[in-house]
Amino acid sequence: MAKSLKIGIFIGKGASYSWIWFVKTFDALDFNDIFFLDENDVLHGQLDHFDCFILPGGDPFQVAEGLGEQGLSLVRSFVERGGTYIGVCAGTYLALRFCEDPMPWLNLVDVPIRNYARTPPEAVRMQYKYLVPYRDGFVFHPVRGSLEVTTGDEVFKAPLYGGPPMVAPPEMRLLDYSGFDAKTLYLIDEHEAQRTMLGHAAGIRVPVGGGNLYLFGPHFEHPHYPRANQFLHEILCTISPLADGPPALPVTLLQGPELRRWVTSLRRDVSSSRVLANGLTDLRWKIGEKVWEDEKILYFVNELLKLLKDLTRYDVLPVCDPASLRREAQNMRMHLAEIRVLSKDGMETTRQASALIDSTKKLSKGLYESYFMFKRQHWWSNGENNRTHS
Amino acid sequence: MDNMYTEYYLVVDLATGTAEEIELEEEFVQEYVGGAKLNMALYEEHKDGEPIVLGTGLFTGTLVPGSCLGVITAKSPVTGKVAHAPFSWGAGAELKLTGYSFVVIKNAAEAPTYLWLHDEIADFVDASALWGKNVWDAVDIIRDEQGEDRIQVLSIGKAGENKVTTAQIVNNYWGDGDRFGFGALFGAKNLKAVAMRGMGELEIDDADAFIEKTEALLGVVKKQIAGKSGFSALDFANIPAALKAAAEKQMHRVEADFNNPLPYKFFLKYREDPTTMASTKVEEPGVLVSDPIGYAALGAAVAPEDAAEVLEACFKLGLNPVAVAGKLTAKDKAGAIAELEKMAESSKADAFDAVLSPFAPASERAEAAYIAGICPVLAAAAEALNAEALAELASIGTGLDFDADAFKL
Repeated sequence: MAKSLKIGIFIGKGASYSWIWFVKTFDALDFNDIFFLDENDVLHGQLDHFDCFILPGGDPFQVAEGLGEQGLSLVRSFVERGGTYIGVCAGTYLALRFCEDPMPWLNLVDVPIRNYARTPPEAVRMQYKYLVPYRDGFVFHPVRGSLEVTTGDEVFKAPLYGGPPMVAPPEMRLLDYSGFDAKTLYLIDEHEAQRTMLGHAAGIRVPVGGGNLYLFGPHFEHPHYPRANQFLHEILCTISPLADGPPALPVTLLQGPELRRWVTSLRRDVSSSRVLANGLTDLRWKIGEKVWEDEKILYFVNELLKLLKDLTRYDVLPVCDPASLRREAQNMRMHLAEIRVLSKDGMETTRQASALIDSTKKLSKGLYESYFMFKRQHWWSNGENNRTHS
Repeated sequence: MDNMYTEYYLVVDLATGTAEEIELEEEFVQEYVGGAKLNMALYEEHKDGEPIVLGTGLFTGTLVPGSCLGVITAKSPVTGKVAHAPFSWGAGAELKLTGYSFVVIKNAAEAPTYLWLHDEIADFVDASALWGKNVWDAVDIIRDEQGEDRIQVLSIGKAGENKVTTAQIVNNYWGDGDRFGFGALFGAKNLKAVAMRGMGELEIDDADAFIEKTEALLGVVKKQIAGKSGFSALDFANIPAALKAAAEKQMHRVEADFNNPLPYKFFLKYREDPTTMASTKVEEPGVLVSDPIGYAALGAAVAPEDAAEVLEACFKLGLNPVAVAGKLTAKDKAGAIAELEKMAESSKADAFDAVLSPFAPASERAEAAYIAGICPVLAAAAEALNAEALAELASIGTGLDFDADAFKL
């Protein structure tokens, strides 16, 4: 049987919620060997088991802090030994050396970026998330939302949420920013944004040692952009599947009424969390250098609820640690309830938000692990829509 | 049921604290369509448990104009018949989007309980601390406890707790046309409230055709109700001129239910300047006249300028204003409110003969509206919302075959 691509997605410290976009898109593209890694997994040498390591959007400062010098070094050697690194937004900044005195990150690719300046242009909106201090200058975000990129032969749309325009030589360039559209949100003057972005690289490929880095500004993994997803698919199809994947995790096989009770208990907490998250208004938390808005929590919770609804139809499910996932669901609800109470009194809630994000990630990770384990085992009958164990 | 409804309905047994999801079968919908008619079939099926059925119409929560209606069906302690009362505003749509288009509530809980429905989850929540609270406080506590202000709550006040037949079920803070003493049934079941928050989705068989037809229907409905708003939409309520004049002085705004193009409800302010549009710190500035007939009845019992505040007292106590207005002897506001407090402990509604709540004009269109989940006040004002038009839309939306007779009780 032919090997399939083993993909590790980083969801550890500093990863934002956009890793769920990768999960949904890879699932739709029928990649089933999807695994989730945090900084501890990297430090324990888990990268050796993968063909491809995805570093999604988030806060590169926090990612670097979490991985530490040793973790970053392990990522470097993963690429040098033939692995493929795909960075999006934070994952791209982490890999670039874009100024003379870079932060001690991966620094694998010497490519300047157009949105780094000592004196950035003035923001016209979203002041709170427009600028990130970096050394003696600032990384600024000229636009957000949908825009156009070109491969040279074709133009398509993809969303940008902070990724850089890169000044790369032609041999590295896969796509350039080619235009804005009606949904592009300008954070600086429109003409200044055009000068900063258009005609510069939105995606590059850089061979390093035996491996490759693919670095993207836009989120080609966003599930609402099918052509961008196809572009990502085309790249994945060029990678030779050589890795064996991580060792199997010890699982509890939940079945029948026991599984239904467990899923229902999670749905109860996640639904309550959704109600609570809906009730939050205009809350923002700065965690590291990343600004989290309450709607990002809602996105996470909505996706969890959809996944759980899907899992209610299963008759059997492998779960790594059912009790701990149950606790994370309860924690999620508890943190949200606490945030609601404190925020009503105008009190600071960043600590609770940080704990909430942690619980949400752990629960999402655990449930998606189960989902992909189930898919890999092909424990259901052949009917396309029939996920009942037979 | 694949289209227009949720997959399941719920049967709740308060005595055992259990809830069972039952598949809502296509054949059942084909035979009983929805709303009052389907509620009735569920009532008959579960009659032994003295059920209260909360149900939605086929169009509740959809784009069809006026699709706000939910229906409460139970045996009325006032009429002795199985009867149907409306619940509108946002609660009808909310019920369907919790994942349960219909909820059958059987038997009685041992201790005060409220039912919390969310995302296909039914929770039985201890309501001991809510028992004795007025409706407004109970709604606030439930919303605070569960964490969102958009939670829709059907609840009872002191009147329902005391099982008086003048009690009514109140929709959030506002009375909503329960003339049948269903509030007393909640009280008898130890059921303080049903709270709902749903963010589900509905499927439509032929969505493009359904949207096209619905938009065309909305265009016609808008022409038929052109210029109607507030009082001008309420000829049937017989609001006397003196009461209208008093209300004009307190008028703050008109309001409409979920997806209802007819804004017939109006908010009166008497604890702050009604011309103030900005939010102020006055917590309870006035009342939403969600029950114009009840308001008119109270306006005949007390001074017109006091009717709104007495209506507020009815809503807080969970009393049916129509049933209590004729029993008031005090003409002053304070005296009337004190009498209402006593009526919430012990009073009896006069029997009358109706199966649909006399909240809006009775007609064939009202019947169709109670089955379809359309606001009966809008249905009375817009001829386009007739059984033939609704049957055509129902066929497009469900992929089943309905005729006008399906929309008759």
